[in-house]
Amino acid sequence: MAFQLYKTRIKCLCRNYEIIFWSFGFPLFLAIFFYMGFNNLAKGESIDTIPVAAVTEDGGENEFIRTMEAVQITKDKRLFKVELKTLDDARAMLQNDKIAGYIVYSDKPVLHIKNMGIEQSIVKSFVDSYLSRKGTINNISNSIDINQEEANKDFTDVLAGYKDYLVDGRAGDKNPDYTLIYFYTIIALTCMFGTNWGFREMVDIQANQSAVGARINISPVHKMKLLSCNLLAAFTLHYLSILFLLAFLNKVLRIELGQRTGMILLTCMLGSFCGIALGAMVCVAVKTNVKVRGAILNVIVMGGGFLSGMMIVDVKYMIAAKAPFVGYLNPSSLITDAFYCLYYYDGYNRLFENLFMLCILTVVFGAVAYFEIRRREYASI
Amino acid sequence: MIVEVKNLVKRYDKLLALDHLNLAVKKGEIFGLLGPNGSGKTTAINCILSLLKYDKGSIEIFGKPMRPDAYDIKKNIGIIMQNVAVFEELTVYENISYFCSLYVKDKKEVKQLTEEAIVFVSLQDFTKFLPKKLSGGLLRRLNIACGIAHKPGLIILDEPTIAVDPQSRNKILERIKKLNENGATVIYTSHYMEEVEQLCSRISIIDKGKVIATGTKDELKNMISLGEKITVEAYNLKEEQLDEMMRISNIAQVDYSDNLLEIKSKKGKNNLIHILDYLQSHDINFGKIFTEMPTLNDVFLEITGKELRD
Ligand SMILES: Nc1ncnc2c1ncn2[C@@H]1O[C@H](COP(=O)(O)OP(=O)(O)OP(=O)(O)O)[C@@H](O)[C@H]1O
Ligand SMILES: [Mg+2]
Repeated sequence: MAFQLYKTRIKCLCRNYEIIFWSFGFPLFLAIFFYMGFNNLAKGESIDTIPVAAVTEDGGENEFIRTMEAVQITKDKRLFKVELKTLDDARAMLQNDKIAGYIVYSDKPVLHIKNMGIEQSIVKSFVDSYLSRKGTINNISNSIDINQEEANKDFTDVLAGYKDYLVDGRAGDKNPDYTLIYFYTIIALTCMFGTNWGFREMVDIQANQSAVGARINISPVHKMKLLSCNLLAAFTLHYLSILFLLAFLNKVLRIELGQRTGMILLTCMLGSFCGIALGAMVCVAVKTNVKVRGAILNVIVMGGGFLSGMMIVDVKYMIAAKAPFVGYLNPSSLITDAFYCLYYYDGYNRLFENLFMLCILTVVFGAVAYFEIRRREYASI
Repeated sequence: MIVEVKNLVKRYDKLLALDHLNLAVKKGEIFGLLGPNGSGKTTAINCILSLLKYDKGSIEIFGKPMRPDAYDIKKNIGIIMQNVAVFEELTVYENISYFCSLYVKDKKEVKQLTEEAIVFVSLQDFTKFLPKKLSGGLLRRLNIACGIAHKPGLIILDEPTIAVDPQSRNKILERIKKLNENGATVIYTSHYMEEVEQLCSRISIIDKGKVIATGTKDELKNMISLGEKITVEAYNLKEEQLDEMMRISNIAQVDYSDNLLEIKSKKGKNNLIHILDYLQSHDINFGKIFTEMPTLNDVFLEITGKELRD
């Protein structure tokens, strides 16, 4: 009979066209929308080597320029192509758009650009970062009296760190494509639409939330057994909606998801558990009418998406820098980041960190929901 | 006793919804719970079903204490709630079959019971309809079918005819009688005294969470001091003539307005002759005359001092 109940539940959920649209349709629209928007941009963002001119006092290379040239996009593709020029030449090249900008180095590098674009901002962030790192190292070597050689070694280490930061420790052959993040946020959003399913299951099982809930509570079935059955049905559809999106992204739009299919599926599964559990928790923990609760849920889901960088990818980086715990508590961020790791990193540490946090959140959400619904008599209906 | 409720007390915060309520439902009867809106009928039903926590009292069904996990008791109860409780996304057939399968394990049996229930409420032409495509009366019938498909021994109906047209209502009442004839004990709540009078073998009248009277409808009517009510179309009656009529023995109350003379007799006494005598001997013109026996409304009125329906 359990299977019969499961089957009927699937049928029932399938005909809830609103939830079905949000789960299956909306992410697809969003993906297509992003795809069209990024199609041109993406080419620009899979960065080519950026031509830069450098003007030094003695006309020769220095530590800074060597560092700049050492930064690689991929194994044998450099991030910057630095040409040593005179100031006049450099100016002329900038005028003719031969270079992204030029750097005048006297005691420190100063960047000159004509207008701000992606390339310029990369150069600028490199220069800024160099300056701040150098500042740190100078401070260290000033306060502690260490010999120059050691300081230099430190410096190189830090710069190596910088290189990692920029190249992101990626598997060697991958082009950094920042638009991918946007698609990962769509996957995360789809996982989070599980909240709708979780919410619905909670409404339908509670006697004080719905008339059918009352009917179920007076029937001779164990409430938790029926709920498991219903949640399984909800999960089935929810997971299908994610697989559907993944297939669409990968096969139709040809978005790179990485090679580790098993891990991708696992991430999606944990993500969808988390979504369902979050919906369930909001449904039982917020004590207002169903409409208001639904609205609150939408705000949480969309807000989570925004914070994970769905609308503006910089938000993600800002949060990572300024308030990392927000990222840890935001399932959307965790899922997005997990996908990012799956694509860019060969290692598993950061991925597992994300998945672990996701599990913890799921357990917390689920526990809150469980303690509320396990009771079988109500104070008021 | 099929259902026995003793000293049930239920509070919603400060509001006392059930105040030492006592009910006893015997096997095979159609038991009516009659009370005005807000008198606590639904609250009582929900407590009996272990949906609501209550503050005091005891509830036994089929001779066993009722608890949320008393599945053997629940198995044999069918409930039709005041609010229609069906899934919007499932068809008539699927809804009935789903709720039936919460009670019956065997797939074949569920199918058969579902089909029988559909015939029972005459929804054969609508099996593939979604609830939102059904009219109010049909929806109520679906609600009933969902509650009784598993053929329970005890059926509880909480105002199943609310917002239903008279024709559908009669159909529903017929169905309930049929269920009872087939062996089910029925508890029926309503604030329509006509329905309860027509349907129920025994009735408890409740007000403000308390049972104020219990019995068959005749027993209830015998409880009050009033007998039949006589209404006469009469013209130009004077104040002192009304006073004189009051003095005729066995007359309890005389009202006169809009040329209608309304006389309530004391219990069991026939006053029609005396009144007609009086009217003739005083040369008073009169037209239509009709008499009626007291209704449950009169019972309610006499006990509580207010009308059953406002
Ligand atoms: N959930 C609740 N919270 C607070 N008070 C409630 C609640 N449900 C009912 N009440 C109050 O308890 C009293 C009894 O209500 P109940 O619904 O049991 O009456 P009823 O006899 O079923 O009325 P009706 O004929 O309108 O269905 C009413 O005064 C009502 O306002
Ligand atoms: Mg009621």
